[in-house]
Amino acid sequence: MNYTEEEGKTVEEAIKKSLDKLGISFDEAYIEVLNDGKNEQSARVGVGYKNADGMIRNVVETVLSKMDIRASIDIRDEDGIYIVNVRAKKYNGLLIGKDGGTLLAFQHILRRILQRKLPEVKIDMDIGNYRAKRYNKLVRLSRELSGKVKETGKEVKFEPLRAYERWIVHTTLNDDPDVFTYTTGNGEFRTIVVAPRKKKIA
Amino acid sequence: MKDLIIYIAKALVDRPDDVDVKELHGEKTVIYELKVGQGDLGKVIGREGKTAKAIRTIVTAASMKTGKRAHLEIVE
Repeated sequence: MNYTEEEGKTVEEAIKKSLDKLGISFDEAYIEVLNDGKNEQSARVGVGYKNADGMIRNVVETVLSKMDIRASIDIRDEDGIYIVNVRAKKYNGLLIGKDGGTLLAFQHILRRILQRKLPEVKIDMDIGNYRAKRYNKLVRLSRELSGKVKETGKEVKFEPLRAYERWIVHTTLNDDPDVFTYTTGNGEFRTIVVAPRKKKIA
Repeated sequence: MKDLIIYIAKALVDRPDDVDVKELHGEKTVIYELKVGQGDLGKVIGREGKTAKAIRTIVTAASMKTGKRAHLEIVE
């Protein structure tokens, strides 16, 4: 357990109770006073590990255990963004969902929950390196398609892409002087077109 | 499944003690009715319904393991 909420007659008492329960020191703890106990109610505090790492792990572990899924969870800090990678063997596919839909839903919930405790925290979630592989694939595909556009002088359209996938394609081809990209289509059909900057003169 | 919905809902709202989930068992489907405290509806629904949609997606994924379709309704 990495987070607990306790009550006491005073805030100090509630904090001490929480720290004892978690087995951590005051310096190691993230403390939030939920009720200062001054309006004739008991004081209530939320206490957890100060490092976001422990809190993120706790939420991911709890959600997965309630889904009856055993997984290994790897969290690393990459330039201030917590990259959470979950490996659940045969359940990777279930957790990723169609076109990564379940993965994005999980990430959304994880971010919402953590932002209540740590407003500044930034989290990216991955399952079985799905997003990392997808990223590499889209970068490769972007270069391939831009090559084709340069060769033929004709526009090429991607398969439907999610917002963050469109961003990957845009940024990959941003520096290319010979092509430009634009977005087209609505809703789930929204995608990117790679177009030549100069029309080839036949 | 009920525990999963309760955990996620409690973690999102200001009044976790007011969170309640009722189960209605059908033949092939289970309906989960999530009830949240006053003023907390927006917390579980989110901007443009994004959070509600995310909870439903997770519930659907979890129901693939149980083999019974799950349907989530949210009320205040």
